[in-house]
Amino acid sequence: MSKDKIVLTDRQKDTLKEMANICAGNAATSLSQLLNKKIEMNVPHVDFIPVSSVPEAVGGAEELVIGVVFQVFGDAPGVILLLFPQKDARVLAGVLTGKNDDGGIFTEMDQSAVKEAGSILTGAYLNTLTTFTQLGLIPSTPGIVMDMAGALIDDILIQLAAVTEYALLIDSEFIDAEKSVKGHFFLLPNPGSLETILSAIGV
Amino acid sequence: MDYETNEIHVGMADMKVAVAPAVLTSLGLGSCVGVLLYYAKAKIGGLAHIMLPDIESVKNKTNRAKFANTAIPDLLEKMEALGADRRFVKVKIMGGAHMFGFVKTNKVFNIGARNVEKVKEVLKELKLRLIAEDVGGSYGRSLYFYLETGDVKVRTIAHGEKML
Repeated sequence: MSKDKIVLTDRQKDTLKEMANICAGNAATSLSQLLNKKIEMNVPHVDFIPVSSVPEAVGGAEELVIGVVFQVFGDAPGVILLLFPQKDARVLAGVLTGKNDDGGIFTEMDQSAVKEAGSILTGAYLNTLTTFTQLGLIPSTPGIVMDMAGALIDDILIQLAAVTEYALLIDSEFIDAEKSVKGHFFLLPNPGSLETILSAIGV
Repeated sequence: MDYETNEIHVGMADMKVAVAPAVLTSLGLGSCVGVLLYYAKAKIGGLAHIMLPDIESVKNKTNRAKFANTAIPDLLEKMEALGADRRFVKVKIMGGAHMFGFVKTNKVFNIGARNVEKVKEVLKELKLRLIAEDVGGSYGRSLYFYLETGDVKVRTIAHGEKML
């Protein structure tokens, strides 16, 4: 594992960014349809960062977040992680379940609503990625966790940590027009998957 | 975390040793395990934030602080370098949760439990005495290790706060 840190050329980085941009754009469109709200996506960040600094990159290890996690199976395995700050997840759940946010506990129903939103985003994202790369990619059923960002992330990173010191983080931020729901969509390809994706898109 | 100027943060797959009045911290541990070693006489403490059980099971062996079976002996050596006597070193462990308990993939995936198991095995080999533990469950923990007293504050979001 001497090539631990893969150095991406500018062209590869730009292509990955563009690819993520289109995937996230389609995901945002399907979420807007579901919520009947305008959802915007920011230009994604594509970064290689040490595994140990991933919690900081997602807003701090102790930050209370709601995370929806999918494992991605198929030609380019990896993990998809959606992170919402707690209050944003409440708003999102409120929009979906049609009840007002009463500041109470985050119920099963709320969790299920956020999971569903996650499934829709992930489905649309992977569909676009599949069209782009012609790779077969299938998401697992979602898992949802409400806890410290660090705790949530380390479970995911452990799988990566066995093979590499660095994680490729493709981070797309989405936000609705009233700025009440903001979330992060992370794609973390397994180490070997990056090469598969890069060669599939021809860079 | 700047209100406690004595805090020394130990990140994922890292380890640090220090002496009182320092406070060693590790924030947001999920299935990682925090191994805390304390030599009371000189108030020397060490904290390792390990991610995986066994260095032999992986190809990439660059970071010894990541694995239970290399991090703990290394940490002990670092403490001895500061003057600790291993016969009197006491150990506390925290973490090793199973965050996605409901995702039924396979048993091998419960890395938290495997980490804890391996840590205990290594402690036994090194003849170190485990005096307190707060492991398992499906929630994250933050650790504050006060070297002045050897006490550890374990903070969680939905499961309260305790001192060990």
